Amino acid sequence: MNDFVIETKQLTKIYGEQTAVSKVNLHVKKGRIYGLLGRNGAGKTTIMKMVLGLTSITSGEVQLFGKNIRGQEKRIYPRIGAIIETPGFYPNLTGTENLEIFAKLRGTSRPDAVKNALEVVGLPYKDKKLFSKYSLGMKQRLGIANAIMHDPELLILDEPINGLDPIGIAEIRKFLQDLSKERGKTILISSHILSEIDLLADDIGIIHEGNLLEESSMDELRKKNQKYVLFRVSSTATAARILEQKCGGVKYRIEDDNVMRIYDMDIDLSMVNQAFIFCYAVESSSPIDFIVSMQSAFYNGKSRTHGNGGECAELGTASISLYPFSYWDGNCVHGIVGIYLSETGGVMR
Amino acid sequence: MIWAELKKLKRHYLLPLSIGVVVLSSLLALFQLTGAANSVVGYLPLTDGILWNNITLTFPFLITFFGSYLMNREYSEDTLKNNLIVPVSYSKLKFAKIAITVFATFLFIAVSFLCSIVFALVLQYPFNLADIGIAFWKLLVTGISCLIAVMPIIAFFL
Repeated sequence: MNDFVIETKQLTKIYGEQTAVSKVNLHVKKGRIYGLLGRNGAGKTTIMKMVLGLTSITSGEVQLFGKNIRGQEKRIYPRIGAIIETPGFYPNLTGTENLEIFAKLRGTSRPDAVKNALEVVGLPYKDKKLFSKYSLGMKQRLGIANAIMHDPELLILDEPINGLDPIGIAEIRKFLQDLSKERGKTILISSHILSEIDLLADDIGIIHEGNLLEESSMDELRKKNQKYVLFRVSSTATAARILEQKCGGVKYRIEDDNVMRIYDMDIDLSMVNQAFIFCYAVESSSPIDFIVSMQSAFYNGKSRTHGNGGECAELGTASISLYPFSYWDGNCVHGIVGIYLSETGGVMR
Repeated sequence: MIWAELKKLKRHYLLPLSIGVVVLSSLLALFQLTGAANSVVGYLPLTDGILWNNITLTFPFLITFFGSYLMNREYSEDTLKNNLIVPVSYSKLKFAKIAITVFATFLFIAVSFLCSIVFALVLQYPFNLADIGIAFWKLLVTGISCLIAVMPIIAFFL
């Protein structure tokens, strides 16, 4: 069974010689908030229009609720609420009158649907203010009210917080989160504001110049883009144990048997290195510079010339080599260090 | 859909303006009748003048403008997308607007007819029921004929 409420396959839109959207494969899961993030002119609105059938598709396919919208409009549209670009209403009518028209056209059976929708967005019911006198924020709220009035399963919102004040943004954000989490609605929302998508979306699609650059969950994206220190070790299981014993509470992730990442950038890396050095062999990753205190290793005069031109010293069962591009200032080693530890007397990396 | 289209005209200047144009056209016919030297005055000549102005000056332009404005405002006010995702098909929307245009045409005919009665009463032109019947019939037929004549413009070129 298809879990995707919206699925596009190689969706493309070309205007003359300009490609507005190029081979976009979008997957919006049921009950989740999907944030479509991109700059102005990236193609977010064009994608939404194609999804809704408001503009023709040059090539590719769109499926809503597992069906192609063409020929199924009467079945599919009542399940969708949408705002595309700026909300359009009749300026000679009040907000309530505008919503009543669309409620009547939709055949919305609930008599208080308009009243409830206006209440949710914080607009007055049956007031005398014409739409032409509305501020941008009020127009946006009315658009949201129109989208939610008939309790749709899917909301497609094109920059819904545009023009709202910070309190209004927080209110709408909370409302959308409640809709998704508590009532299982699916929401496709577009924005160029990173912070809003970060706060709101469960999944994210990043679009640039018509191309979908990235599509993943927010959690995955955060993990992927976090800063980390990469350690290449002989045994990640042992290294993890050492880490937890010596530096409890450190956030790390084991990639495989020999590679692990530490995400806690506040940690003292020299302490981590020392912990590893004195327990097991580690090989530090090449881009990382660190300072290791080698005082005891070199004061005991056990240094010798290394085969590659550097200097090597013994530290218990550890053999520590300084490569030619590192240096010893009499107290500390600066640069890249190779550390070899033998448990059984032989050299082990 | 017809209800929705009628509601969309609430507080809009289109209908009052159109009725105003019809009244002015009828008034012009009155001025033409009374201003011309040696003209035959009376109820039926007055209605003929109104009829002539309707056909040549007012109705073709007014009906076309009315119908095309109804459709065009969906684009200018950016409300078409809201209608299409209800869903209301584009052809149904157009059909509803043409229906409203037809109703409006009958309204214009009625206003013209009313103007002829009022002006005749004000100027004390004698008339009887037969004259009223003839005037109404003429205005109705010519009004409908104008509507049919301009309907292709509204239906196919919008």
